[in-house]
Amino acid sequence: MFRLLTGYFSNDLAIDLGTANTLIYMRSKGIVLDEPSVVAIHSDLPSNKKSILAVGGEAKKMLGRTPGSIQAIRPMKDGVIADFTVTEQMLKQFIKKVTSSRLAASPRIVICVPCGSTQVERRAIKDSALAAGARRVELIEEPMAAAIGAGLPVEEPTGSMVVDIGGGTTEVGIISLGGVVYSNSVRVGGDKFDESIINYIRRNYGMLIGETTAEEIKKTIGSAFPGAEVREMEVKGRNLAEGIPRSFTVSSNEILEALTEPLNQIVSAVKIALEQTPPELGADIADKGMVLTGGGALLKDIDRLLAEETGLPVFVAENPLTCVVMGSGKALDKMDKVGTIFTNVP
Amino acid sequence: MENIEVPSTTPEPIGVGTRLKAAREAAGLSLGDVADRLKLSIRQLEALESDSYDVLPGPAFVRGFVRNYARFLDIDSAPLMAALESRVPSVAKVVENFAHEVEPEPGEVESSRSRGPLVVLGLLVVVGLAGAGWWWSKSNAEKPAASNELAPMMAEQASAPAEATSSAPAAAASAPSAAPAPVAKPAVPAVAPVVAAKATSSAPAAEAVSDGGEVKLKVSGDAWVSVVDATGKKLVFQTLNAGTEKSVNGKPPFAVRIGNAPAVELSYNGQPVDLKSKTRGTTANVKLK
Repeated sequence: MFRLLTGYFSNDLAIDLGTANTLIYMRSKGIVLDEPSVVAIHSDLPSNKKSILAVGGEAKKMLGRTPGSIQAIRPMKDGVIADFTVTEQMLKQFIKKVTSSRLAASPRIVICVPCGSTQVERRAIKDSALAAGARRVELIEEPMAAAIGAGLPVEEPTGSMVVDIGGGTTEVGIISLGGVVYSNSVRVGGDKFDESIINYIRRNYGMLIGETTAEEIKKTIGSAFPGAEVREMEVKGRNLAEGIPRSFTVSSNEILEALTEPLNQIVSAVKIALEQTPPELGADIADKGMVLTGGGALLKDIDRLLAEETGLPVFVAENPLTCVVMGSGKALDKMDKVGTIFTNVP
Repeated sequence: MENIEVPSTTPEPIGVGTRLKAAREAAGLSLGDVADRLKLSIRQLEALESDSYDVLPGPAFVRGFVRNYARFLDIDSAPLMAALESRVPSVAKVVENFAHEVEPEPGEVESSRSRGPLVVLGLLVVVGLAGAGWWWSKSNAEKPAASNELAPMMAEQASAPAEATSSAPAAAASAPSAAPAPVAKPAVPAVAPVVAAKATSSAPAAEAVSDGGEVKLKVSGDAWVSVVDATGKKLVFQTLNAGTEKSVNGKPPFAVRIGNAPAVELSYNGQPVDLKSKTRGTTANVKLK
């Protein structure tokens, strides 16, 4: 009875702590926060005292445009915490943003972790959330959360395959009966795509472009499979030889070439997953195909690429960006009843 | 049972399949061409084009397949998805339903945040009053008076749901309607001599029966069951194991969907409902008014 009451008074949260974006789902309210995982830190040089200047969207605008005393950091790298204290601060700020102090008990929180993260990294995430004021913290593996959020029948004795292409990692998971049968994580995601575009343009054009520009190119003309039409885009960057900003034009075919390498890594991760799948579940997957979630699923024709490479039906989930957090939220609602979908941390 | 409305057993044509088929034929493609491109089997494509979604894996997959198909044929998928909504609800809907509430408007957040605890406080006060009433009537137990006639009837009503839904107080507490408040006060003292023996908390459950409908399920084999009441609340949405008996109360009409219909006996307000005529395959869809 007491638990029921505290459960009612507290605002339980589900958090998708991603490399690129952090999303927070609140029970009975839906998604209440969707901000980039960026923190701007102001450091006072003489006293060496550091303070948080901004988090989220505000801090992202500062990324790459800061003076010496301010540092804009992305504390998550490759889906895991690279900077523990900054992540803790960021979580605290985000949690504070969405909860009211009035009458509220400290929340129970479900956080998703990449399936490839080590026990040490999981512990770090859990401790961050506890330090940020959580009463109880459960971790859920990202493929599981993505599958629940995409509406796959995870609790049935049938295999479902989900490929979650996030900012830092790509997670491939095969799920049956509420548990992860196979999961694999490769550290390729949206960030790697951007990096590949930057490298390609430097190599072939002798031009230097920033991460934001690379992301824009990816979103506008990037694709994963050769299409019928070739699209072009004008880009501005710094010429390496002259050291002067210039503008030039890139085509979608060139970007496709640039993205080949990271895309191949994703394809091989998917193929390995299929190889490792028990035959009965493989048969289910041949029938139903795989579901793509995460921001990377928005890359044009990536479903086509995987379908051609594997010969299986592939489709993109309906709202790929919010799948993981919605799935965690759904798990949160069932938290008291089912334990199997959460992972254990010592 | 003239008050039971049966959705026609043949699915009403929602036209998604025919539209896809027309577009495919207009483009001069055979099913084989499409199967080759979408990596779906001919059987699955035929099912998509004839709107028979039962043979397809599940709602998320149906929607995904239709979207892919539409994109391949270069037709706008939005109207198709909207048409699908009636038969194959989107995931977002399911997830939202799970949370019982749709995301509120930004301005609304503040007020709804403070409302939740207030509802609970209100319910606590009601429970407290009911307890006080029970204590008062117990001390006057020597003179049972006229309430005797009413008592056995109420007790019968109260005990049935109290046994079946042991979570009755929880259910009553989580239902945000404050309806029991005015009724509970007079009712509880009157019933008290008998009901008190069971449990005070079963009184609110008994209350719910009188102003709503009661759906009773008796399951002889594992079956997936969903019961949704008029407010869209999912009263039952789970697999019930063999031997389970469950009764739920809510606001009629109810939409009942049963996965393994032959193994389930359904009764509504005490009257048995014939499932055979509403069963297609093994799935029964019944509307109870």
